Amino acid sequence: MSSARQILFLVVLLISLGIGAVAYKHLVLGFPLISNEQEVVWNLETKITFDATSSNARLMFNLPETTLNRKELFSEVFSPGYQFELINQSGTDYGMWSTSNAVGKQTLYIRSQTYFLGDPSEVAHVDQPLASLVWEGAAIQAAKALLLTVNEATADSKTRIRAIALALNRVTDENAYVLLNEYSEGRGRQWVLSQLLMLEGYETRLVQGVLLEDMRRKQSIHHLVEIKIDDKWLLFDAREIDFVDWDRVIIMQRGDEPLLDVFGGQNSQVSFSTLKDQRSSFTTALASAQRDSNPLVDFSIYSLPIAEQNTFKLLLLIPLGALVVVILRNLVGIQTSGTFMPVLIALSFLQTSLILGIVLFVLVVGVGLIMRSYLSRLNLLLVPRIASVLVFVIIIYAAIGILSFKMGWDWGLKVTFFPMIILSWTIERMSILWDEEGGHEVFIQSVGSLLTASLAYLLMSNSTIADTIFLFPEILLIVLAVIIAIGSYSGYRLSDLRRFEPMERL
Amino acid sequence: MWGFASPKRLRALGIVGMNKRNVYYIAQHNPRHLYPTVDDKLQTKDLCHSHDIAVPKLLGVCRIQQHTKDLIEFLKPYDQFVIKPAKGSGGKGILVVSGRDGNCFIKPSGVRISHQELQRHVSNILSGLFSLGGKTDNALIEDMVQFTDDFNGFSYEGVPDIRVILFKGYPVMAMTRLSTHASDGKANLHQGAVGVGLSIKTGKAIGAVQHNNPIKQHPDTGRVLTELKVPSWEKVLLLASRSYDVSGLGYLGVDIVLDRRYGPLLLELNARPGLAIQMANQTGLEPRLRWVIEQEKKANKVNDFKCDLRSKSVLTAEQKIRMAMDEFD
Repeated sequence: MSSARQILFLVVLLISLGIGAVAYKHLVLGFPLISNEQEVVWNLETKITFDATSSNARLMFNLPETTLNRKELFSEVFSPGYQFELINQSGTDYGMWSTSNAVGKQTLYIRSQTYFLGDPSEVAHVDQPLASLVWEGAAIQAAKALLLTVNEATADSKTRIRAIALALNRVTDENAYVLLNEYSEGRGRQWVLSQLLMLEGYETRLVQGVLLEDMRRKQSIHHLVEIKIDDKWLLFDAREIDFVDWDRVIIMQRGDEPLLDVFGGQNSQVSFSTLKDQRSSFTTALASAQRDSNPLVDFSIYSLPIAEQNTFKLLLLIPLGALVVVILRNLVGIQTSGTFMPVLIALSFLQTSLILGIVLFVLVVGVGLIMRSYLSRLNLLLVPRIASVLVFVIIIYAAIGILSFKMGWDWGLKVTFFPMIILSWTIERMSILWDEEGGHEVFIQSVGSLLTASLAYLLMSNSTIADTIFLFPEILLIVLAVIIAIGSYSGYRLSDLRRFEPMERL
Repeated sequence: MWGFASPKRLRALGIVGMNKRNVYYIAQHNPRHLYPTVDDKLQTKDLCHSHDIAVPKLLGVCRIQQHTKDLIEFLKPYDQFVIKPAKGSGGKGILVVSGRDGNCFIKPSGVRISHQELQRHVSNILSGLFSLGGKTDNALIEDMVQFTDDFNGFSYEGVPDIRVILFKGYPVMAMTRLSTHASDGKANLHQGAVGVGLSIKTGKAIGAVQHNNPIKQHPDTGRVLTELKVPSWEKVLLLASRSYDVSGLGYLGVDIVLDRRYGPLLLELNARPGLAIQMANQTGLEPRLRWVIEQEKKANKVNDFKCDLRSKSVLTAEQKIRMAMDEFD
C-alpha cells in the first residue's frame, strides 16, 4: 500500500473508531453528549496517612453523613492489609480499620461520589446537639464590647452575622484579640464566632467539612459554623466571612472533635482531593455499565484514584494544544520558538490566567534576554551558558515573586508555574536569533509563540471542552486522525500565500 | 487580495509551497540516512575529493579544544583563510581572514581581531555554538576563495554565491545571491541580500527580489541586475549536477562560488533548500520537477529498469545538463 493510501486508511479508521466509541457511549450507555451544568457529581478522595508505632494499629474515622439532599453514588475503601468495619454510634457513621502488621508509613484511601438533590437550603433538621455557651465573666464582657462595635444592629441577620465575623477578623481590635487568644480555649475562630452568635441569641453548631472545588488536591478539613436563621440552617465560614452553600461542602462531622482517632500510630494526617465530575445521567449510566462490567468503562480513566483522574483530566487536554501547534505551524505557517514550547506555556497559563501569564512571560523572557546579552560577550561554552541562563531565570522568578509580594500583589508568585528549563532554552534560542537575524525575527517568533500559546490556552481552559474530552477520551483518536491528515497535507500554507503574493503581480 | 495570493493562481504558476516541499520532495527523495553527508561539511569535502569535485582547499581541521593553542602556529604560513564550523547552517560561525597586520588578523570588512579572539571563535565552534542542536563540532580551516571580478558592481561589501536546485541530478532552477548593505555583506536572503534568478539555458539574469519584493537595480550600487551573466555557466551546472552522484539526495541545493584561479568551486550542499528561488526566477518549480520525473521514467524504461522514483539514474551528468538547458529558460 502506498503511504498516501495508508494515511487515508488510518485517518478513516481512527475517525470511525473515535466516532463509533462516542456514539456507543452516547446511544447505548446513555452518556450525555454535552455536559449540563446542573447535574454535578463530586468525587471525594480522602487520604489518611500515619506512621505506625506498633504493629497493632487501629483507626476510627468519621464518615460523611448522607442527608436528605446529599446522596452517595458510590463509596469504597482502599486499604490493603486492613480490616474495615462500619460502625454506627449514636447516629454517626464511623469507619474502623484495624491491622496487626503495620510497619512504617501507612496510607488509606476512601473514595466516594456525591451528588446533591433538590433545593440544598431545605436541608433537614438534624438531631444533633447544639453548641453551648461556655463563656462567662470577663469573656462575656469582652464579647459584648466587641458586639457593641458592630453597628448593623438594624440590618437583617445575614448582614449582621457577616459584620460580627468581620469585627472578629479585625487584627487591630483589642477585644477580638482577647477573645481569639485568651478565651478561645484553643478551639479556633469558628468556635469563637459560634459563642458570639449564641450571645446574640442564635442557635449554632460547629461543623467540619470538605469544600467542593474542581481539581482541588490535598486540601485539609474546613471548619464552619452552622447557624439557624428563620428556621433554616445556614453554613457560615468565619475565615472567608461569607455563607457557604450546602451543595458546596460535604459535612464530615458536627461538633469539633477530631475526625480521626489513631491507636498505635503518630503523625496522622487527613487530606482530601475533590474533582468535579459529570452529570447524574452520566454517572447513573456509568454505574449501570459498571454493574454489567462493560469493558469500555471498566478499563477507563474513571477506574483510577481521583488524584490521578485529576492529572489525566489535564493530560487529556495536551493533545488539543498539540493540534493547535500543528494547525498554526503547518496550515498557517506561524513561526514559534521551539516546537511544543507554546503548549507548555499554555499549561502554565492555565494556572496563572491568560493576561497575567503573558505579562509574566514577557517579563521573564525580556529580563532574561537583557541578562543573557551580557553572557554573549563572555563567550561561554554551550552547556555552562544555558546553565547560567537557568540560574538567571530562577533569580528573576525569585525577584518577581518577592517584589510583587512585598508590594502586596501576590500574583507575582504565580511565576513559579512557568517551566524554567523551557524558559531558559527560549531565552537562549531567542538570544542567538537576535545575534544572527536581528530583533525583528525575535519579535516575529515571540509573537508567534505567544499567539499559539494563547490559542492553545483558550481551547484547553474551556470547561465544556475539558469535560467533553474527559467524558469521551475517544475524541483523542479523532484529534490524532486530524494531526496525521495535516501531516500529509501538501497544499499551501497561509504564509506561502502571503510570501508569494508578489508573483501574482508579475 | 489583502496581501495574499490566491492558491489557484499560485497552483497555475506551479509554485511549490513549504508543505509540498517537505512532504513530497524532501521526504520522498532525500533518504534520512544521507543527511549527515551534507550537514557535515567535512564529510561533504571528503566525498567531493573522492569524486574529483572541485572544492576550496582544506588547510586543516581543528577537532579538540587543546588544539586551539597550536592554532596560531599552524596558521603562520597563511595570510588568507576561512574558518567555518563543519555542522553550521545558514552561514553561521564563518570567520573570513583576508590579511594580517602585526599580531592581528584582518577581516574583509577591515575589522581587526586578536589571536585570542580567533582562538575563542574556534573554541566556540568546537563546543557547538553554531551547530544544529548544539552538538560538539569540528572547525574547518580552508583556503580563502579569490572571487572573480565578474560580479563587480552587482554585489556590495561581500561575495556572491550561486545556488542551483538539483532534482535527481537535473539542474532545475538557479539564482545568485548578492550581498547588500542591509544584509551586512552576507549572501543571506533573510537578512536582505538580493536574489537574482538565473536562466538554466544561459546563466543570464531573469529577475531579482529583495525581501520578497521584485526589484530591478541593486539597492546599493544601482547596477541594473538583468545585465548580470554568470561566466562559464556550463561548468557551474556540471559541477552542481555531479554533486548529485556524491550525495545521493534527490532534492538538493548546491552552493557554488567562482574562484579566479580554479573556476567554480562547490561550497556546500543543502538537503532542505529554500523556496525563495521561485520568486527570483518569477516562476514555480513544480512543472520543472514533474518534467524531471517524466524524463527519468523515459530513460529508465529505455534501459529496462523498474520505474521507481528512487532508483538510480542511468543518464550521466552531462546528458542531464544538456536536457535541462534545452528544456528550461
